[in-house]
Amino acid sequence: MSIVVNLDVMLAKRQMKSKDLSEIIGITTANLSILKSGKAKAVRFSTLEAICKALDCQPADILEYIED
Amino acid sequence: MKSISIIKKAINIFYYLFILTFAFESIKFMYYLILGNFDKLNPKFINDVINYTDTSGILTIVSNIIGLGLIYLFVLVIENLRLSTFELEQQNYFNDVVINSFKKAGGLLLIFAVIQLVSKFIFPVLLNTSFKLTSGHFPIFHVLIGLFFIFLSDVFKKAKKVTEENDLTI
Repeated sequence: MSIVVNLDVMLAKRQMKSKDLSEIIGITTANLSILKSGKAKAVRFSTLEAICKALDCQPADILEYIED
Repeated sequence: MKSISIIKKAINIFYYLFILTFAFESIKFMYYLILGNFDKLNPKFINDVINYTDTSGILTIVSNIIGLGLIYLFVLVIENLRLSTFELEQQNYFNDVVINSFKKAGGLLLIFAVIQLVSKFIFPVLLNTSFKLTSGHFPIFHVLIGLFFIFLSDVFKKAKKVTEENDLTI
């Protein structure tokens, strides 16, 4: 897929665990894992907003477009 | 939902009734075939166009085999619908079993309609009996229901895709 999710990188930069992030933004660890692995078909604005708020970052820090 | 339970029970009754009909007609066919008493044979679904007092042995056997085949096709249609009702009752609406069952049931109903239509045109010609074209020759109901089931299968296929995408929306 052309859209790459760099959530792992941001989590490492903020020294935060996936479990903690999932608790803060209110989604299950299973869903967060789907998002991190790039298997997700879509991301809700509300989820993106919550992630950006929790990690204090911009959407572009999490999502990246790479040409195939 | 209560309606699906009622449909399931009705389909189950139809299913066992048609299996019994198929078994009974097969035994009757074999019995009269062994006795050579062809005028007693009266295959279901195409019996309205055949006058067995004029028939030859081979035509009687062929028409009866087609009649038995049509009953068997109907059993298969009901079996597929039965499969789908089991899934629908458990609220597994959009899965491959339901999609394939509807598609197979629709296709089999169309095959049933074609065989019935062709038989009703061919047998009067072969038997040299007077041929009158009536609305009963065109199994419009079976064709419409068959096409509707195929359409339903496509709708369920799209719904499955939408459901999967919805499940993968975080």
